[in-house]
Amino acid sequence: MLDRISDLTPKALGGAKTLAAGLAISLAATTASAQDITLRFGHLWDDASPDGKVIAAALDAFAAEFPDVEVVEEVLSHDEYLAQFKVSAASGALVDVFAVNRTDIPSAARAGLLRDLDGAMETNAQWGEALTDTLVAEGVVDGETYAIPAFQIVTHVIFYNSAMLEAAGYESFPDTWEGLLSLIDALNEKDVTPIALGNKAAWVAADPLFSTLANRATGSDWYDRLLANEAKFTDPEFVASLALFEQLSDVGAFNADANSLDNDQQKALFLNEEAAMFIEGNWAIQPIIDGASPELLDNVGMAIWPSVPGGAGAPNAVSGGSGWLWAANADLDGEAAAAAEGLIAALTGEVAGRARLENGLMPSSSLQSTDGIEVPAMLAELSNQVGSGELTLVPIFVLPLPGGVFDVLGKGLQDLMTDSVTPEALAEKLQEEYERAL
Amino acid sequence: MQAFQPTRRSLWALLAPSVLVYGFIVVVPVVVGIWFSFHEMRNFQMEWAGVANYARMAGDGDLWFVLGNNVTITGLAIFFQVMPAFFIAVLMNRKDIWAEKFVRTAVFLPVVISPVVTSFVWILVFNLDSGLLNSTLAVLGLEAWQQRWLDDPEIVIYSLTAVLVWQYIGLFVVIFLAGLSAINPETLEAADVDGASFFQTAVLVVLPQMSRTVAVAMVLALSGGLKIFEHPLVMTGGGPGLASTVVAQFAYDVSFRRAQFGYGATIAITITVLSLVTVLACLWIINRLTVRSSGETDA
Amino acid sequence: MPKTGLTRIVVNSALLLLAISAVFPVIWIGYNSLKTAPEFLLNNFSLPADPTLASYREILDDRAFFVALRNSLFYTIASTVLIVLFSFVVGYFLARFDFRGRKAIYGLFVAGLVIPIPSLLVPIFLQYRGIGMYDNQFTLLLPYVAFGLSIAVVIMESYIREISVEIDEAAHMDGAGLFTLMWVVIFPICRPAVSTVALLSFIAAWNEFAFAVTLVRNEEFRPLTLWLRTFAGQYSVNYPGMMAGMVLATIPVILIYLFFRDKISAGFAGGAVKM
Repeated sequence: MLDRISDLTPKALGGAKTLAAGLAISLAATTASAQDITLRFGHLWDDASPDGKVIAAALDAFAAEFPDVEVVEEVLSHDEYLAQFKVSAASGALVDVFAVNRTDIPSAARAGLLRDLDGAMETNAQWGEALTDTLVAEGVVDGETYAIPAFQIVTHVIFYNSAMLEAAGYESFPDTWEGLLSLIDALNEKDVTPIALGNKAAWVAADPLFSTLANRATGSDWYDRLLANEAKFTDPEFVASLALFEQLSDVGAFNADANSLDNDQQKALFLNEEAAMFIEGNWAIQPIIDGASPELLDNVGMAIWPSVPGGAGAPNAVSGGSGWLWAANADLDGEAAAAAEGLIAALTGEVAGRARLENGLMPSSSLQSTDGIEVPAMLAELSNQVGSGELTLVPIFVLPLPGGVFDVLGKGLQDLMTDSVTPEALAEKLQEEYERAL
Repeated sequence: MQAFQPTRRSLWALLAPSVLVYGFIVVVPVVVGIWFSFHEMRNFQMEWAGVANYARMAGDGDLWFVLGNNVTITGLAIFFQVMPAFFIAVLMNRKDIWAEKFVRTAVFLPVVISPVVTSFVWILVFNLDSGLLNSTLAVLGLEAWQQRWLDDPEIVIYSLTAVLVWQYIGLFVVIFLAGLSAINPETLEAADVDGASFFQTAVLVVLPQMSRTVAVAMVLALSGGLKIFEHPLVMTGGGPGLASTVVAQFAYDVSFRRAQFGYGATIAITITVLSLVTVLACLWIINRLTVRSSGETDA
Repeated sequence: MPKTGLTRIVVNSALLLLAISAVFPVIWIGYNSLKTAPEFLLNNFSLPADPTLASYREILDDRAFFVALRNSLFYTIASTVLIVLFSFVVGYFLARFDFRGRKAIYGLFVAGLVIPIPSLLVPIFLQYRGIGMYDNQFTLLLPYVAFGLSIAVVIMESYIREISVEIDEAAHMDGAGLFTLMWVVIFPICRPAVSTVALLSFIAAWNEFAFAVTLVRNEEFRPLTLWLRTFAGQYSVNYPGMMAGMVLATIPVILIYLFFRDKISAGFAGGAVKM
């Protein structure tokens, strides 16, 4: 307490000191000497979050390997980070090492802002080869690797309360769309919110719910053709996926205040047993373990969307991948570039990988050993299913597409929930936005 | 204007810091914005776009929709905020007010609090299940009046306006009180002797003497209507859909979420011009009305 | 004006109701911040049965709050002082002297009143980036000063205009130079306008959010509004914790307001409303 108050007053007046320090940092960055390299490191996971703990562990490992390099973290919350990244990229002011969303990689790479990391992967072959190939592909633009996957995520898991399902007459999770709809009816009759949704920030519906649902209706072939600009959002199979989402909302699957709550609040509704299900990614596993009563924890089951009528998608497909990747500034050279590559390797290496498992997350590389790590049972189950091919990962719907499409889809799904737009009209709007960026 | 003049050099030397700071932060960005509006970003680089952004703006239904939200909020604010504030100020100007100091202090209090804070407070007031509003209605047996205050696209804009009115009505009360302190008290006494009703006094005696105050209030209300940004951002994120999105957030999203900085700047410049034109038009109208209705002297 | 007892009661009750509705939400977050999360969920209307400072302790254990408090104090005090000084100088010259460019300068400052600030965020950001002023201890100072200047200049100018020119002339006869005239003779007379300008500048800078969210990235330079947004986001399911944060972030500005409250009306009366 005391030391905090004491650093309150002098600094409030000593702005000049900060300016001097700032100058010193920028000078140090330009004349990078072996003794003191400073890396500015931007990301979006605060210390208290599970990802933040992984980053802290990785930074410790990095400090042991590069004792002369100082890493200055710049952490922003999700929305602000995405916004800041775009302006920083536009004005050529990216920091040294940073998290980059997959949606921004093609533009940033083609603008020459990202360092080519193929060399680093060859030099540090042990690290490079351990990385999961399908995830590395997310950072490849025109044949070169510009970003390294930060982790593996599954963005669609239906967490359900099996006791509530039983009370509504369901011994197991329904495996057809009709079955799911009648489960929703049965739960509504019991005055239980079927699916807790906190979609204020618009990404919860757009990714955890919709990414996999869209694949069920359209199948992966259509999606690949969309990316190649050979298919359109206005194709009937995609309009059908929007209609399915609208149907969920129409039959009362969600709480009435779904668009004014956030994703922590949807979790809270589930943990307080006011809702029978909620849908998020594997990152929600640890909060469930931490927040659920022992009785509830025993009853938590995991499921995915059942197959949908007339859908072309595989019933075992779930959205996932990396989504966030680590990249380095193309302007770096010499020692600083080597340090940046070292930092990225540390963030995705063995130590970080173990820390991920311990924090209920999935690493983006295969580990040499998992001895002594206590992996939460739910996470182990999920990663085994992904590893064994029982579940197939398909891309997170919006990420390979331009940012504008994400924005339009997020708001459009909210509009579908309030019947302010038809699936056909929304599909046209998406196509228009997509074509603008082509 | 007084007789002696400082030299032009010392005059401008003293004005320079203010004018430079102001020019750098307010004037230059407007120019930069205009330049931007003729460009668009592609792969994080600016490319010449001609008038494409302006053409796109003309056909952008979403933009006109959110601009409509601003108009709704501004119109409602003038009706439910500026007008009531005038009458409240006239009432508060009386001699026999209970707890006068408390009332005066309290009315302005919300104005000083951060919009981020008041927005969070009102999120809790509007919460569907446990919010202050719906639970109060339940206690009063008025369940039928309960609403999805922030989730119903037909209602959310009114909920948002209510928060803005609540927070800023005090500002207008204080402005009108200040204006009232400057009017001629004899005219009020004369009206009283003639047995004029409260509304007659307020509208026929007080209002014509306060045209400049009214002008200031209107300028603040109109420009305030286009400046709204934090409240919807924090309370609803602009949703559901675009139901509570205002033009400032729309421009922000276009720039920062879609990385279309050129189009974002085009919208920004347009609303700046729009704001200036509206305010000037409003001042002109008030001026004309004043000239016609009374021979008020220039202050 | 109505005089009967009944009207008096109705009018006064209505005004009291208005005052209470303005104050109640503030009091409501105040006492709910002393509850535990479960108690809040049970009943958010009642007073805390067993008041606890646990939420406050948690915040005060976190360095981030103190960093943000320090920054908010710095931005707010520095910008308030600069706005008062600048607006007095500009206001004095505009009110007293006729010089070429006078009208243009006045018009420029008045125009600032109606420019929607959020519309300038992107251009200002890119400009800042271009000259490397982005993200340091002084980043937010310039926008706070510049945008505060508009209303401040208008208030100062019209206040000084009301002061008799004879005072200036008498001082001039006595041999006072421009500096003495402005700062020793006129400035003290402007105290009500200075108070109003200071209070408005303080409130605006303390509560500013749009520039902060756009121009500052480093945690070391973030003001309380940004801290509060992140903090409240993390506490979206722990309402008392969130409310404790709001109380701490709001107390300073409320204290300043209570201290200066009598002056606002006076400054407005002599100033803005007669522009």
